[in-house]
Amino acid sequence: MLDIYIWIICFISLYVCMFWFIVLSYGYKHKVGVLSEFPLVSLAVPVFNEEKTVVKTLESLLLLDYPNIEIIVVNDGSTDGTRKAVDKFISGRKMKNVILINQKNQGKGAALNTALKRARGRYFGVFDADCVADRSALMRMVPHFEKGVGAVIVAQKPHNPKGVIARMQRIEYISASFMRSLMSNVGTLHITHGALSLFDAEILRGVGGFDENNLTEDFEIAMRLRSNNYNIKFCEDVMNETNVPAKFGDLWRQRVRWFRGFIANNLKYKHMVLNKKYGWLGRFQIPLEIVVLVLVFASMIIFIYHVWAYFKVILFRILSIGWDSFFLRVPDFDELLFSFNFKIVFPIVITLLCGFYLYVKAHRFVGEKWRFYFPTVIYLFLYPSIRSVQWLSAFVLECAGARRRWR
Amino acid sequence: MAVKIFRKDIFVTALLIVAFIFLIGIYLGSKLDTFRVDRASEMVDEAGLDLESFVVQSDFYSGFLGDSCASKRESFDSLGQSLGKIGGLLVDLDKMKLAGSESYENLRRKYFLMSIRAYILKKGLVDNCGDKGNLILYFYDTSENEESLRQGYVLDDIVRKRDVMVFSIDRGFSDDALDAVKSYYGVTKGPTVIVNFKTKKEGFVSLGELVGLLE
Repeated sequence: MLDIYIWIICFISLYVCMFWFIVLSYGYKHKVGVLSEFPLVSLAVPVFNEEKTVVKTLESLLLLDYPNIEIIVVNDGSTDGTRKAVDKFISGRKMKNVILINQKNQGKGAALNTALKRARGRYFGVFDADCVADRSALMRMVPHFEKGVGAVIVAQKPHNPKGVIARMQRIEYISASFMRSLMSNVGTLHITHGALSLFDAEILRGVGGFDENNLTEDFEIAMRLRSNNYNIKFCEDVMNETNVPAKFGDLWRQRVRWFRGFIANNLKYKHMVLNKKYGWLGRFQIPLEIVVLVLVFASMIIFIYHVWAYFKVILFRILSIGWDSFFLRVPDFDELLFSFNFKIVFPIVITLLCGFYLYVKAHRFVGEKWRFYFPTVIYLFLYPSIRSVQWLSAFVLECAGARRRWR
Repeated sequence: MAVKIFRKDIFVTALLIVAFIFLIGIYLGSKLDTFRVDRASEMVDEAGLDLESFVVQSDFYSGFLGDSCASKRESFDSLGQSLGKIGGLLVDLDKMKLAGSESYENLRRKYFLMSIRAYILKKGLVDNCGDKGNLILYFYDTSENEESLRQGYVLDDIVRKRDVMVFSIDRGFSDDALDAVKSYYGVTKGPTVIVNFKTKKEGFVSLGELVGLLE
């Protein structure tokens, strides 16, 4: 029975890999026009207790080579020195295109809506206070807008990652950016993020702005745009950086929040699943993500089963013959030949090879050399199990109707 | 728009490639299974020849010298070790669900019968020639029997560290000769061990207890 489970999981995983290989083989490049004018871009920076990073973030925005921007900083009830730091930043430089709005704490969605109300630009950008922008970001993103495009996002990776947890996320972010690029190529991209997502302001207002009671308002607005048949494009020439959790506890909370958001928003937009009206997003991408989620759980069960089986063997050996059982001898050729279960090992190896190929391609995509170092081992072999538990935790919290806290 | 490049044939192409990879996997897997069964068969045949050689040797000495005990014991000991090893390898093959294929079932039958034949020979050596050395006849149950699994670890350990021969028989395997042995010893459950032809122990026997039963 276990063999069949493993075969099903490998078949689906391999199918997904192969699907993206074929998409990759198209070598599709977005055709973008050249800017003849520079419409005003309003950049919203929602902040909550970001006194350590906000100035650096604003400085990176001022370095953007796009000539026509306004920056709206919304201080969402910070209790630290954020307000003072931003005030000092604005008054020190005497800038008219940077506005600070202070409001009582209402959450990120509400802060973004406050900025949207004040924004005058044709395009509305969302930029988290813990991110660093690529200088040419807007110059490259704005030309991607065409009829029917509701938002444009960019690639992102962790800013100056230190420690195993941050470095592991570096791999994750690079892989995610690569996949988003492929998804954009086939028109199934349905995510926006805080490391600079640019929206058509009129379309954004038209669909009602940001959901103020959502754990992942960035995912929600992306789903809403797609459910209103607006496309989201990926600008692969830009790589913005974002600060990522360096501690396990912070990472855990962030991911559980994201996964809860994923579950809640997929339920909210369940009408899109297998709905022809939404093209391949509804017919393929969203169902695929749900299937992958099921696979994650199935893999977790298989993993636990294997760990338990292995533990049981060790336990039995200790109980049966004592600690001597740890002095294992080297098996001979026949023993190796007879204990090698090819029917299970083969699909797993092929699937891992395909995954490895995508890993290498993802690094090339962001112009970096791939490396196989300790965080890679953690990311490939340990993190999936942790992720499964995070998914489980998110699932339980959503089912139990636990309070939604953005921070 | 990018959406236009999304073609239905991507789905079909991906499916065909994956199906092809899996077919290769199934083909290579079945080839490897065949190779393993062939290898096991080869080993059983070799052991069969060794057994035959020992029997011929004994018959020769008995017929020409009137001494059936003159045959070399080393060759029997080596045969016993080979049979023990083959038994372990067949258990590995059992785990891969090869049971059911005709060639594999025949192979197992051949092996079990050979083990019983070697067991009988050893009994003759002990009774008639005053042979020493320990022999355990081990009946195990397959299908997730934890006690049999643990007994297997104990017997593996004993074989590695002491001068003991172990002949393993699947208790559930049906054959007239095996049924006769099971009936003679009254084997009703797995694991059951018969130590040196006389002491029968049903259920898991610990390492210490088993060592105490050996000569």
